[in-house]
This record gives sequence, C-alpha cells and structure tokens, in this order.
Amino acid sequence: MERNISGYSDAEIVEGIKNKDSWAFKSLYSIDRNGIINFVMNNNGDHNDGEDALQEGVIGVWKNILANKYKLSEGARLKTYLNKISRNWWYNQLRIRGITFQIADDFELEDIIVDVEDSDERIKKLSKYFSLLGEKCQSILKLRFWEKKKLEEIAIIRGNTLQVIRNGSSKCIRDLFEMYNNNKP
Amino acid sequence: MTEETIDRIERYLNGELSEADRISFEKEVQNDTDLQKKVEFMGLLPRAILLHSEDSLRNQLKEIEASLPKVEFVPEEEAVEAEYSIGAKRSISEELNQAAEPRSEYSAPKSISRSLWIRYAVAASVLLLVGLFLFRDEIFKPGINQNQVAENLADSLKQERLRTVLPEKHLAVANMPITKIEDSKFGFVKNQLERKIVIVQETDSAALSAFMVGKTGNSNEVEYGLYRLVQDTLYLNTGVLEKSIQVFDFDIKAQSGEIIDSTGQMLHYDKPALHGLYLLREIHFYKIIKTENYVPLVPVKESELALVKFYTAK
Repeated sequence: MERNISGYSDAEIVEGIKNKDSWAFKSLYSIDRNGIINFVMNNNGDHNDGEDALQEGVIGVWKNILANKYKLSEGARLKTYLNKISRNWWYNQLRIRGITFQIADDFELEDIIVDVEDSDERIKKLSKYFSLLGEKCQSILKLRFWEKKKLEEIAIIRGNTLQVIRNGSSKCIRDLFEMYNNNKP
Repeated sequence: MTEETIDRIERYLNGELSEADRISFEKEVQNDTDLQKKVEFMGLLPRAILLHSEDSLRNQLKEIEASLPKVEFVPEEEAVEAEYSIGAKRSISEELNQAAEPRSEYSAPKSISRSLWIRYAVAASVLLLVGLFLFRDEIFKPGINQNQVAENLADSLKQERLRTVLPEKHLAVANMPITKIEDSKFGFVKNQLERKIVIVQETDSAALSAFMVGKTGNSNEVEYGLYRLVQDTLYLNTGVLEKSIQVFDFDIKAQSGEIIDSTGQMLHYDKPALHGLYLLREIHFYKIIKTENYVPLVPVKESELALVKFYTAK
C-alpha cells in the first residue's frame, strides 16, 4: 500500500476523516501543500490565495468523503484528488476576479464536482444560531440531521439511553427553531 | 414543536410518507403558516449544519496552516527538479504529473539561469526540511536525511492518532458490561496490592458490531480490535462507580472500581532483544503489544523485565 508523506495510506486517512480525527486532517492538509500553494503562486496568486485553495480543497475532499462521492476503489489517489479540487477552486476564483487564464490540457473541470458554497441567507442565519447551541445539542443534531443516524444509533454513540436522546433532540430542535423563528438568540 | 411534528416533517422531507399521508400533510401545510415555517426550518437544517461544520473545519485548517512555515515559491519549470533534489519519498509518476501542471498566460518569467535554479533548489530543500521539523514542533537539526524526517513525522502523527482514537471511543467501551471481576467485589483488601493483575479482554463481537453501527467503508483496510482494560484489584466497596483514569498517554474509562495512582509512564525501547512500547506503572511493567486503535497490555516476560530495568536505570 502506498503511503503519503505523513506516513499514512489513503485508506487510513479516509477512515480517519470519517472519524473526525485531527491527525487525519493534518495528514490530508500536508499531502500536497507545497504543490498546491506553488501551483496558485505560479498562476496569478499569492501565498494567501494558495492557502485558501488548499483549505477549500481539503473541505471539498471532506465533503465528498462524507457524501460517499469519493471512492477509494476507483484508483483516484487522494493527493491527485485534492489537487484537482484545489485547482478547480482556484480557476473559479480567477474567473470571479476577471483574470483570463489557460487551463492545462490534462485538466477536466467536470471530473470532480463540489457543491458551491451556500449563498442562501436563511442558511447562514440558521448556521449562526446553530453555533450558539451547546455542545451536546450540536452533536446530537449533527448526528441526526446531517449524518442521518437513527436515534437508537445516536444513543449508542453518545452513551445515553434512547429516552434521553429523544427528549434532548426535541428540546434542541425547539430551541433552535425559536431562535430562527424570532430572529434572535 | 413536538417530537411528533418533528418526526412527521422529517419523514415528509425524506419522502417516507405514504401517498395519502403526503397529500393530507401538504394540505395542512397550505393552511398553516406556522407549520410552513417549521417545514422550511427543518428543510434548511441539514445545510445549515453542514455550513457550520465547514466553518469549524476551516478554522481548524487555519490553525494547522499557522503552525507551518510559508511555502517557498518555486517557479513552475523548477518545481519538479527541486523536489527531486531532496529525495523525498514520492513516486516518479507523481512528480511527472506535477510537471504537467497548467501554464498560465501570466506565469513567472521563464528564463532563469542555471545557477539561480540551483539556489532555488537548495532553498526549497532546506525549507522543506525546516517545514517538516516545525510541523512536529521540533527544532531543526542539521544533517538528518529526508527519510528520517518523513519517518519522524509519521511517528509523531501515529502517536497523535493513538491519543485521539481512544478517548472518542472509550465511552462506548466503558458502557459495556464488565465481567470477570465478581470475585474482587468484596472491597478494598490490602494484600491484593501484591497481586495486581491487568487483564485485557477482547470484547464480544455483538458489542463490537453495535459499537460500529453507522461505520461504513473499508473495514478490511483498517483493523479494528476492541479491547478494554480491566483492573481487578484495589476495588472499592461502593458498587458500580464510573471513574475516568489516566493510563499512559490517554484516558481509559473504567466502570466500577478505581485504580489508585493510575498514571503510567510510556517507554519506548529500540534495543537488541527489547523492542517496542512498554508501560511502567508503579513498579510493574507491561508490554504493549498492539499500538493501533486499542491497546491490550500483557505482562512482560522475566527476561524482558530484567532488560527494562537495566535500561530504565540508565
């Protein structure tokens, strides 16, 4: 199994990212940091732009792993995959900034599609209120509405009884809805 | 907003209602602005949570970036060869892929003299070395080759992984029923100090699969061995207690019972006939035979014990 510069194989990093382990994000971040930042700096960007491209690339990989859009079996190396998402993001930035550029022949934009950032103001507002909830609420709601786990599974993960999770989950949703509905925390 | 309403909206949004229920629900929504707002709210929730997680991840990545030295700018033509010069562990084909990177109309000047190129290459290699050391919070030591650097980096990440993997999961481990300790339940008996035993049990497969609920992907790629640490001495006569105890680098949560002076010292040996991780707790030594995910402890052999003592005394 081929190992990356951090010493981990692609499979290990992917598994770590699913587990939200910080070592895995560090590994992914370092997998091609030089290459990506240098690519941006070589294409009308500065170091900060390179950092942004790398960040957005890692976020894209993370999203795709969670959405099961990234498949190890298809032979796409994580490094190449990240590199493509970062480049794609940077090309998009150049377009937004109105800079003409030439895309390399071997690069296919259609290869990897990452959802564009949410511009819906309601979602931004809701996300802000969500960050005001306590850690427990955030964790339960994340598991339930994002990872789509059943209450029974959440109870196992959090080490609580089903009843505790059920009540907690309802209360968290009510609190959040109150804030959203009244437009104030 | 009752659990019933939440549940109904959730099933509606997931398309889990029957045709009749869906139609009656939609009719209800049309005439009820309050319900409309609730459906809107529940519909936006997953994306709002994603956005929130994204922001926290972005902050985490910014912290990682802040701990690293700036990347040295290497003009396109030189990038590939500069990386070769440090002998990093990368495959040739990957390097060639990088060589095929796109060229911009506005790219850096293309005529750079040979001597300047060499300076770039040297600067890049030194910077990469510095970078890797800073990455693991160590001081730059000259004269260490790139392979060593990569190994050290891998090692420090492995240690970090050991620390992070366990605490996240120990809750479930701690919640599993403990067996094999009934005979110690008669309270604190002083002379039991003499026969301190650490037992490691592999948990049963049903508990393991319950614990792994929701885990998808390549379980064959990552080996999951679920172990827990059970201490059968120094038992307190207080029924079932849940105590968080500190054993070597990370927390292990033990349900019922407590371990006095539970701090241990992790020792790493790389000597002839003595290789691997050892745990020193009070006067007892244990060899850690597995350093991934979960860590079973086994008492060391007499011969190893002598060696451990020998090296520790130094």
